[in-house]
Amino acid sequence: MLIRMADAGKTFRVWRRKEGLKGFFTNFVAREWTQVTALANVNLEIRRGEFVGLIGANGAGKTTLIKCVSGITPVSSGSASLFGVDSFALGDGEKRRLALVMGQRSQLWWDLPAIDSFRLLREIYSIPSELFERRVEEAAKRLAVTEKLQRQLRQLSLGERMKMEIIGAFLHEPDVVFLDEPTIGLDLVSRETIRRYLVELNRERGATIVLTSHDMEDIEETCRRLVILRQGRVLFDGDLVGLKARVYDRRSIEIHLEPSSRAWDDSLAPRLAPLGATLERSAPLTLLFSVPASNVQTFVPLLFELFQIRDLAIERHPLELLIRQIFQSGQAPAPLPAEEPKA
Amino acid sequence: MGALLHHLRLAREFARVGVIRKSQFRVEFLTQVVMDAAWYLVHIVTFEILYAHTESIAGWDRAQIRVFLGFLFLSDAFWMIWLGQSWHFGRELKDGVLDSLRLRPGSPIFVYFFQRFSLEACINGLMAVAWLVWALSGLEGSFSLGGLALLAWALALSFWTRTVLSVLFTIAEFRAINSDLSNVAWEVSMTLSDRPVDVFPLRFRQLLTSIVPVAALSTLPAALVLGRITPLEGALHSAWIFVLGLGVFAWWKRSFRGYTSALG
Amino acid sequence: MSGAAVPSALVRDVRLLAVALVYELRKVTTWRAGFVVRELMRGMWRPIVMVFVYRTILVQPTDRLGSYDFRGMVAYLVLAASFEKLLFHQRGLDLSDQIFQGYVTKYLTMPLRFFVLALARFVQHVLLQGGVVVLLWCVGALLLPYWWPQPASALALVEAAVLVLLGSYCYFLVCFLVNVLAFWLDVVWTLSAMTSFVFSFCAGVLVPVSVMPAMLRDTLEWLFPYWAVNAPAELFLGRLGHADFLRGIVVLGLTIVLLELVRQILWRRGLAKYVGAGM
Repeated sequence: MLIRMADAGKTFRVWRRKEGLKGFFTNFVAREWTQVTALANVNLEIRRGEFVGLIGANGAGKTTLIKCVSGITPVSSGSASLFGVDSFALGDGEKRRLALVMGQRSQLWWDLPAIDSFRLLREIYSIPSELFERRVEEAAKRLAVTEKLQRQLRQLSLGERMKMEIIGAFLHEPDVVFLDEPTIGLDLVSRETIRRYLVELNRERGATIVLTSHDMEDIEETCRRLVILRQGRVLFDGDLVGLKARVYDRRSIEIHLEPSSRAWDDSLAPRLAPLGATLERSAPLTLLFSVPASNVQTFVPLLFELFQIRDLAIERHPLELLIRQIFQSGQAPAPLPAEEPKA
Repeated sequence: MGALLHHLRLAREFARVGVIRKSQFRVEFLTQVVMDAAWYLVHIVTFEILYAHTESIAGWDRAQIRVFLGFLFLSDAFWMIWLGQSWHFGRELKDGVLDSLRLRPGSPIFVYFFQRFSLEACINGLMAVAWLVWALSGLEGSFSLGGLALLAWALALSFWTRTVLSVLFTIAEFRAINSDLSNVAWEVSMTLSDRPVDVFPLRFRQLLTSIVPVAALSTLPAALVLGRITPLEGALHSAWIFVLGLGVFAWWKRSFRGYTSALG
Repeated sequence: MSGAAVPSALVRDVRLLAVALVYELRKVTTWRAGFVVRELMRGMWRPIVMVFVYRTILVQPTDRLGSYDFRGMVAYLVLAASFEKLLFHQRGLDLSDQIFQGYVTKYLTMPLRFFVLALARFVQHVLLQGGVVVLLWCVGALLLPYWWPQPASALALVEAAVLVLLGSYCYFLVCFLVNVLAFWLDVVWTLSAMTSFVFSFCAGVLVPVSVMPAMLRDTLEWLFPYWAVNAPAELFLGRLGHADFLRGIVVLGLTIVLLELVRQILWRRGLAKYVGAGM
């Protein structure tokens, strides 16, 4: 087992800021300290070559989990290990097999051309020169940034910077790579390029990748396994394909109403219930329903009966809707009959 | 031996990166050279003004104080060339920038503190060398190999102490995040070291010689070369400061283990 | 259209200044150890070290450095250290970093004058350091009454305070200007640091200007640093008179006008050239 967390917990001590002039003095003289639980009883095992997606709402504990398991910060309770060694006691040997990319914090040198940062990394990780040159050339070509290698990092666009970060992280061919929101703020093309590159590396080199993202497309297109965190706890840990199967038998139907149409009101809900349909989102002139695929044929005429419809779109139920439900309800989805739950 | 070579190669790479970085900021390069030159000038002028009114300051005459200033300038140049990163430690600790040190192989002290090589400080180093040579040429006596060895020893003592103190002061930031204690301690040590420690009362002088060895930045090296202390005394001081340094590095590594990254 | 009248620019600036001031005060007190180190202890060490240096020069009661005996020199150094604390500190402004990192961008789209935000830093500094100096002054006068300087008269105290505050504003403008150079230069901390210790020397923080050679002394008396530290200290001690105060007001007033003009020009030109960070 490459990564293992057993009953791992992490708490931070923070002080509560008080408002007003009185608060100004009490904040300085007598602070009120509280414990914030970032992780609680996390059990997680990741094998070699897995591509794991880690998702959760803001503050769910994703970054803390990555920091604990990569050895940046120790767990407060339980244990976290990487390569069979306590994460917080990694030696140089283990560190040579590990990399971390943080979307919101550059690991490269801001005022240097990326190629110079890479050369520094070559020395830090003792990469032979020939290998180094070949890897940089190949990675830059695949990520389409060959022309940008000589440019100062701060003069690159966000997407180009992130590609450089990823090249830097993979230079020493690590066995485990943690990517914390690597596609944050990137355009569609850059996101797609980075996803494809990560999938290829995972497939070709067998690198274990743990990816956090708020973009469900990132997760769907790269990961085979999904871990959902909520308030520091693992809410779901299982096969992404299984989860997708759960939502692929449903359809999303979005309708745009004429201004003269009747609006949605809750009294309409009983009309939908027999068809297994639910209202997912409502705006003054837009409604989004979720309905079993087998009932679409019956449901659509009912919609035309109830509303004056200007436009209608039917799509496969996006995974994002299910994830949103899980975030909001805090309930893990029930396992499919064939699915072996891990958490 | 392998580790030493690895760190020497890293130092070479830091120097290369430093040169590239500074080639991009030409104005900063020039202003930093001018800044340090102005700093030297302020010190020289201050002492020249004082010596216009007196023959001796705490037993140091004008010629000796010039040698003292030579060591002070060279010690400062060494800090600027290799250890300027320590100035940013408090802020980077608060912002969680040290995370990457946990992930990368090699000595975290070396990788962090020596990462910011400053090319312009080399120019200032040359100025400092020129000043020291000129100050030494103003002394009585002739050049000898023994004298040269003594000079090399004095410089090594000064540079080692500078490294130890830079690392020592940052430990305070682990205890009190964003307190600026590291930079203030550095400023205080600079202030204390830019006058011979003989101006202070005995107890304080002992503190600055043995516990927080600020005296070894400029006073002791100058005293060693000027014959104000014997080589045996110099050797005892050096041995003690070497051991103290090893203790400081071990303490820093222990403190680094307690670093909890930025929250989030 | 809303019926509510938009307040005048001055009223808006004053309101913004008040809000920003509270914010700045909260910010400096957030890190308590940092507050003690930065706000209480800063600027104290060099004068203390110089006390020991002067002690080795002025050994006998009859020994003199210029017109100063040891007791007079200690009194001068106490005053110089106190007044230097009231001067704006170059590290109190991180404008160059904001320009370099591109953070200034967000303020450029807001209906406010950016300078007011910087001014809040200055007011915060003066208020806080004023409190610290008064506190230190009381403690010093109680513990070391023999060494502690007393004002020559109430008028001398007021005149010294006026010169220090005007001098502090001058230095704040200098700091602002140096930071604004970040529009053209990538890093300006070296200029800031250089400004700081050249200012300190010219202000006579460690060696009174009257002790310096005549030509240097005559030059420094036309520059604002002298009127921000050395002259107020000597006014306080009764070594300078009312005529000197008036001369100081003229020098500082002209300096403020000049610096203010340069500030406005540089800020406008800097903004015209500003591209922020990233592409």
